[in-house]
Amino acid sequence: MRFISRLEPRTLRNQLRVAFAFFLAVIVVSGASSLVALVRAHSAAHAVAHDGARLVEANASILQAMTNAQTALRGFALSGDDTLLAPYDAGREQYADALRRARELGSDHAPIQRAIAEESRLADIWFAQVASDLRTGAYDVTRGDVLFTRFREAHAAGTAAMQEHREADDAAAEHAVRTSMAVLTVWCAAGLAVGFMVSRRTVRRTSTSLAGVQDALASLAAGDLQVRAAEDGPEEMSAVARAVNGLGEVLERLTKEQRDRFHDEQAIRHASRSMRKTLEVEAVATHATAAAGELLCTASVLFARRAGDQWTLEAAWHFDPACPFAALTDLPASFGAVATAAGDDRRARTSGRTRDQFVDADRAATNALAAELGAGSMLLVPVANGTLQGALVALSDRERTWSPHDVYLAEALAREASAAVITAVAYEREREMVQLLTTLDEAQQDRIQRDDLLTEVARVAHADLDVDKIVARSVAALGPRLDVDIAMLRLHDGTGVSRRAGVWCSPGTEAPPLYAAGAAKFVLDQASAAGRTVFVTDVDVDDRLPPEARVALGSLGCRSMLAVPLAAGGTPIGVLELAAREPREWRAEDVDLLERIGREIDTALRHAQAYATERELVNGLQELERTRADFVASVSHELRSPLASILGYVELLGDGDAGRLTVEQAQMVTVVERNGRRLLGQVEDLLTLSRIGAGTFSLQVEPADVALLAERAVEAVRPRARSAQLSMSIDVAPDVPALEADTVQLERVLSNLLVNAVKFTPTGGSIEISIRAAGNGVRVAVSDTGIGIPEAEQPALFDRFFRASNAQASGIEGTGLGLFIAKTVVERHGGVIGVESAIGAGTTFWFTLPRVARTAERSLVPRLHSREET
Amino acid sequence: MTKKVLVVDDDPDIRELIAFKLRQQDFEVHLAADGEEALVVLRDEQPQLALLDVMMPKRSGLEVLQALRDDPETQSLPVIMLTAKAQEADVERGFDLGADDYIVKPFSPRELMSRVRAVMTRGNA
Repeated sequence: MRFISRLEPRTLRNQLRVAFAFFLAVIVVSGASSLVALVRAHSAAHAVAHDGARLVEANASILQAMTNAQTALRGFALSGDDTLLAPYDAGREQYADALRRARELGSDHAPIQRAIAEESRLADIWFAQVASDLRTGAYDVTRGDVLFTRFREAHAAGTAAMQEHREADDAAAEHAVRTSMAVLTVWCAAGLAVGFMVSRRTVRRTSTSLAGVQDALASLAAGDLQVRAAEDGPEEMSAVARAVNGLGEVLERLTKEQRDRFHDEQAIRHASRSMRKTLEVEAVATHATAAAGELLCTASVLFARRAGDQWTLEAAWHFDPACPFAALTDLPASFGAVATAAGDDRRARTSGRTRDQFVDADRAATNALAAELGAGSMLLVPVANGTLQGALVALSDRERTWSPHDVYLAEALAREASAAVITAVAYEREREMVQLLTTLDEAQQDRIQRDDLLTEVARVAHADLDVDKIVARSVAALGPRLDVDIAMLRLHDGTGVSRRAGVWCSPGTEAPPLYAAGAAKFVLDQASAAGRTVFVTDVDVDDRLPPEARVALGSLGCRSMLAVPLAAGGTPIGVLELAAREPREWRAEDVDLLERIGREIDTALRHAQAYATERELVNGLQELERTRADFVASVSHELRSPLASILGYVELLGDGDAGRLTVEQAQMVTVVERNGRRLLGQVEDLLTLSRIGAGTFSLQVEPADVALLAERAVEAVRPRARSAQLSMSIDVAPDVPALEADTVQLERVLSNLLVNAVKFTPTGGSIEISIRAAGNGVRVAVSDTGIGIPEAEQPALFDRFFRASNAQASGIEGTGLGLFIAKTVVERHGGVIGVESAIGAGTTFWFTLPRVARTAERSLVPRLHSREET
Repeated sequence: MTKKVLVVDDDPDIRELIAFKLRQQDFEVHLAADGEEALVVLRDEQPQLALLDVMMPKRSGLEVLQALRDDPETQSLPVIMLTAKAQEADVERGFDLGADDYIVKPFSPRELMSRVRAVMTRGNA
C-alpha cells in the first residue's frame, strides 16, 4: 500500500483513474488467466489424447508388423514357400517404421524409451534368430516361437508402460488446470482487494475533504468566521477548500470592517452622547478632542472655537500629557485663515503626505500651519452647521498619512460636536437668560415696586397744577407704601419758614404739628445746607444730633427719619420728610428712590408754579385774541352797514326813485357811488388780509366760467376806462376748459388786475385780456400799454403793502394789497401768478389756474350770481 | 290784497331803505329793530314775508328764524336773510334752518326787490 501511496496521483481524477485501472487490470488479468488455464488444460488433454494414442498405435503397429512377419514366416516354414518371405519382409519394414514412430513419440519419456528399447532388442533377437535359421534354411519354429513370445511379453510391458504414461499425463493435465484456476482465483482476489482499497481510499479521501469543506461552510454560515477547511485531499477538493477558506477570510475581513465601523460609530455615538449631555461648550470640546484622539490614535487633538474672526483654543487632548503640544495655549495667527477656508468649502485639511483626494488648494497654508504648530502632520476638520463654529485639529508628532477613514471619523465627530455646540450655546444662552431673569426678577420686583411708587407719586404730582393739591396728594400716595409712620412735605418760602405743608400719618400715629421746628427744622436746615438727603437711622444712637433735635424728634414719637431737599432747580423750595417710630436703615435704594420722588415732586411743583404764571399770561392772550376777533367782526359789520346804506341810497338816487336828477346831480351821485364801492373794496381787502393772516381764509369752489368772470370784471371797470379813453378787449380761445374754482375770489383777482391796468395806463392806451388753455388748465393774461414796473421791483410786487416806486411817484392811490391777495388766491387754487413788464412798455400780469383747484373745499352755499342767472 | 312784509334790521337807515323800496312796490311794510321785537310783530301782524338781518342785538336773525320754524303757524313763512359777506357760515346755517334766500350786504335795492318778488311768487305757488 505504501507503494500505491507513493505513486498516488494528487488529483481526484487520477485517483479515480487508478481505481478504474485496477479494476480493469483485474478483469483483464483474470480473463487472461482463465484463457491460459483453459488453453493449458486443453493442450494437456490434447497431449494425453493425441500423443498417447499415437504412441499406443505405433506400439500396436510394431506388434502387428511382428505378428505379420511371424505368420508369414510360419507359413514359409510350414510350406517352404518362398513367396511367403515377402510379407515377412514387409512386416519387418513395417516394424522398423512403427518402431521409429514409437521412438519419436516416446522420446521424452524415459520409461517408455526403455520399454521400446527392450521391445526392439527382443524383436531384433527374434529377427536375428530368424535370419540365422533362414540362412540354414530351416526355420526352427519352436525356438522362434519362444523368442517371439518373449518379444510379445516385452511388447505387453511396453504397452503397459505407455498406458501408465498416458494416465500420468492425464493427471498432469488435470493438475495444470487446477493450478491455473487456483492462481487465477488468487489473482482475481488480490486485484479485487487492491481495487477495493484504492476505491475506498479515494472515496474516503474525497468525502473527508468534502465533509471538511461542508463543515467549514456550515461554521461560516453559523458565524464562526475563523474556521478553515483543511486544504488536503485531491487537488479539486483542496481548491474548493481554498476557495471556501478565501471566502471565509473575505467574510472575516468584511465582518471585521463592519465591526470596526460599528465600533467607530458606537464610539462616535458615545462621544456624541457625552457631548450632548454636558450642555457646556468647553465640555463638548473636551469630549470631542478625547474621542477624536482615541479614534484617530494620534498624539494630540485641539478644539478651536470661532467667535467672529477670533479663534480660541477651547480644549485640547493629549495622549501623553508631557508631549510638546500640551504647551500650546494660543493658536497661531494663520489658524483662522486655514480653518475658515476649510469651513468655506466644508472639507478637511490635511498636511503632509496624504491621498490625492484630500489634496486641497491651500495645501501650502495647511502645511505651514502644521509646521507652526510643531506637528509632523495635521488633520483639520471644520466644525460647522450652517455657520462655522470651530475646528477639530488632530496633530501627530510624526509624519502620518491620514486615511479616508481618519477623515471620516474626524468629520463625523466634528458633525456631532457641531450639533452639541449649538445645543450647548443655546442652552448656555438660555441658562444665562434664566439666571439673569432670576436675579433680575427679585431686583426687578423690588425695582418695579419702587418704580411703581415713583410712577404713582409722579402721576399724582403731575396730575394737578395746583400746589396745595400736589403737596397733599403726594404725601398721601407716598406714605402708605413706604414703611414709615409719617410722610410730610413742607414748602418754604425765602425765609425758611414752612408756609404750606402736606402730611400723612400711619394709623395710630398722631399728626405732628405742621410748623414744628426742632428735629424737622434741624434736618431741613441740614438738608438745605448740604443740598442733599439727610437721614437719621436711630436718634438714640446718632450722636451727631444736637440735643434739641433729639428732643424734637422724640416729640414726634419717632426715632428715625429722612429728609430730601427739593432743590432740583438750584434754590430749595421745600423738603420731603419721612419719619418712623422704630429705628430704620435707609438703604441706598430707598434714598435714591426718595430723591427721585423728590425730584418728581419738585418738578411738578415747579410746573405748577410755572403754570400759574403761564395761565395768567394765557388768560391775557386769550382776552386779547377775543378782542381782536370781536374787533374784526365788528369792523366787518360796522364798516359794511354804513356802506350798505350809502350805496343803497345812492342807487335809489341814481335810479331816480326820489325824483329825477339833473346831469350834474347824476354825475355827483356817480362819484359818491364809485368812492363808496372803492371804500367797500378796501374794507374787503383788509378783511381778506386779516383772514389770510389768521389762517381762516379758504376757497369756496364751484364750476366757474373764466370768460364770463372776465367779462363781468371788464364791465365793472368800463366806465373808468371809458373816461380815460382806454380801449378794452377780451380774447378768449375756443378751447378754454371749464374750471372748478372760487368764482368770487377769481372775479376779485380779475377786477383787481383790470383796475390796476386802468389806473396805470395813460389816456388813449389799450387793455387786453387773453384767456388760453394751458397745460391742464387756463392761462389768463391782462396786458396794458401803461407806465410799466421797474424790473428790480418786480420780485417784491406781490408782497403785502408793496407799491411800485413809479406808482407812488405818479400819485396814483392804492393800498398795496390787491396783488398780494391775487397771488394768495391764485396759489391757493394751485396756480402761478407772474408779471412781465418794462418801464414805458406796458405790463402784462398773467396767472394760471388748474382745471380743478388743488386746495379747496367745495362751496356749500349757492352763490348770489348763480341764483341771479337762474 | 296788499302783502305784508316784515323788515328786521338794527340799522334804521337800512330798514328805511328797504321799506322805501317795498312801499314803492305797494307792500305793507312792518319794521322791527331786533329779534324780540320781530317776534312780536310777526305774531301781531302775520306778514307774508320776513327780511331778517343776521347780526342783531338781543336775538340774532338765526334765532328768530329758529323760532319761526319751530312755530307751526310760521313754519312756512318765506324768509330772506340779510348777511355781511364775512359770515358765510351764518348763511349756511340759515339755509339749514330753512331760509328761502339770502342777500349779502351791501346790496343793491333793485336786486333785493327782484329776490323778494321771486320768493313771494314761490311762496304763493
